[in-house]
Amino acid sequence: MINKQHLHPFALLIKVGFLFRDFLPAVFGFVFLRQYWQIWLILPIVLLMWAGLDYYCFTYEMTDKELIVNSGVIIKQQRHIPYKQIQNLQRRQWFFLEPFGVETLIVDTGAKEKDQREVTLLAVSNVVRMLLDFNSSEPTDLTQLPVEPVKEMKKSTEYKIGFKELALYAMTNPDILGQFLFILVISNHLGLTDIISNASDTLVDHVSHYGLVAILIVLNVIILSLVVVNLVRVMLRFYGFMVLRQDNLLTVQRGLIQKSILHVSINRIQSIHIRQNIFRQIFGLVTVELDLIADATKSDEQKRVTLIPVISQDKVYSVLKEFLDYPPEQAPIINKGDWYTSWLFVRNALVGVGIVAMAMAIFYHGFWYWVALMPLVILAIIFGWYKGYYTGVNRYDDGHLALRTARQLTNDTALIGWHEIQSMSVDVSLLMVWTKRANLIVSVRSGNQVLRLRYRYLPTQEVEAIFKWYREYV
Amino acid sequence: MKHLPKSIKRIWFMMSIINLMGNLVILGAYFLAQHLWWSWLPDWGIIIWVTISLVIFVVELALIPYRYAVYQYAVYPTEVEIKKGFFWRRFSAIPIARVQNVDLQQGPLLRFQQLYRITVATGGSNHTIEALSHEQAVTLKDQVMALAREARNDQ
Repeated sequence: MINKQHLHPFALLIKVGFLFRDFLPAVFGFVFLRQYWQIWLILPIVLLMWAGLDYYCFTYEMTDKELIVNSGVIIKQQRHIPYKQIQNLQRRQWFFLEPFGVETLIVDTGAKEKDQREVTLLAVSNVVRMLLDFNSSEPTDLTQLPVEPVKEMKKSTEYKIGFKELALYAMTNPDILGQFLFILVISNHLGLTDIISNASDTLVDHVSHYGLVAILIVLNVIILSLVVVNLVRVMLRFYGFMVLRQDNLLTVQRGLIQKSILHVSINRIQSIHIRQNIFRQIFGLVTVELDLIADATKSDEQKRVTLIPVISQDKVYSVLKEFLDYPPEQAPIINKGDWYTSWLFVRNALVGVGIVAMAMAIFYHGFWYWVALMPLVILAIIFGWYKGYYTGVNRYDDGHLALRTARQLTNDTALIGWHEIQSMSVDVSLLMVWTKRANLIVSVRSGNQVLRLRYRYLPTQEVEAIFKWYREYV
Repeated sequence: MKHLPKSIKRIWFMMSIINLMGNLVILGAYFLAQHLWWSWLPDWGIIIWVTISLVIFVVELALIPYRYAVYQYAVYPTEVEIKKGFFWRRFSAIPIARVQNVDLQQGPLLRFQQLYRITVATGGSNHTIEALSHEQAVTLKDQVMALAREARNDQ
């Protein structure tokens, strides 16, 4: 139990940092207003005073049932968060706060309303351990609670990740391709200005002599620097990545400059996604993500928690089994889509290409129009075929489904339990009645909303079997 | 499974008339624009628009009996089921234990026929039954909520 108290004084520092970050655009604006130089004196003082007031007005308290937070300078707010309602806990710790054992704690209740969103305790120490114990269903003697950081908590199962795997993860990120194209376009623009400034005859001379070598060197430098940048980014983000399970509590820890730790109770997990893009498929690597109930403030990236950034597809199920109770022992058997399913996806993609093509044709439809169209058509066929090939559903044990589909050459296997499926629908068009196909729509919670996962053009028989199971399962 | 009340047909009929009137308003605007400002607007635009609106109107009217025939719902001790659509059929199952609340709504048209629109909400996904009489709606709501409470207590 913690009596009503203020945050750790470091909260003031963090708050000032946030305020300056938020006011940074305004500060740039003031640069152009030199005659109002006084603003440079007033602004920091105002911000500091505001941060001070904010700090003064913010108190928290922990009773045996709930966390109580008082906040607000002008509009006072008192929030009561029963421990039972906590969906997950996030901890962020800047490296310079580590020696003091002070960290930022975000208590997520998965609320939809704006004024009921997560509660952020900017700088606290030793609160986490207590909250974690409250979150577990068994009431404990609160005065006897041990106070210790996660590092020293008793480990039961643990998974760490090596440098080699992370490097592969960084290099198989499809973003690299986009960044590469972006740089090419930009350098092309720069090149154009050169052409304009130089005399054209010397240029032709120049290119024919050194052009190819120069271009190859430049391309290599671009690719190399992209790889390094992405590697550093991934290393910073996933440095010291570790997953830990103690009883029903799952802990995911990562980060170098700012350490980030997530605690979530296993029975709060809504679905597991095992994803693999086509580059990682070559290396046999997959990524495991979790859908949780979380607040609206999160970005999409944060809503889905990365449980394991990269792992070999042969090991993934045996490792998952150690951390979560319901994944299958080995990869579930899911039927691959047949040629007709693939054709339907190819058809849909071609319709999309057709619309783009018609729009393009308004402006231009000479020889190069057809040349430009060809790759689009080929891509549409590949994307559609891939999606069709990987679309399938199956029930791998009594109460759980394995559902797989693909998007943009990334296949995604979702493992979902009956209790986590909010509702299920079967869609059939008149034509599909005739061709014996059906769409399965499974609603699961993710973030503060519902994901409607669609598995299309499946054989009616399979869909009906799953729908029947869903309706009759007790 | 149960059908919606018969008076829903009248509402669908009225809705298609409203749609037709909306299309006629657009037609009027086209006509006005042609005569006042943009004389280059072609006459065949009017013909196309009239044809499209009439075809939509007739198709909508023709589909009303089908829509009525396929639109069904049922409440069982373990789940709520909703079946709808003729060309695009959707069959949804919502377990009672997942239901969080049942909402009743009433727009002007529904109020005119003393009907209610029911929304069965789970943790985020909503499922709508387009219209029920007041009595049916309240019964459904009470039934579902009672079952939901029971299901939750069982867990």
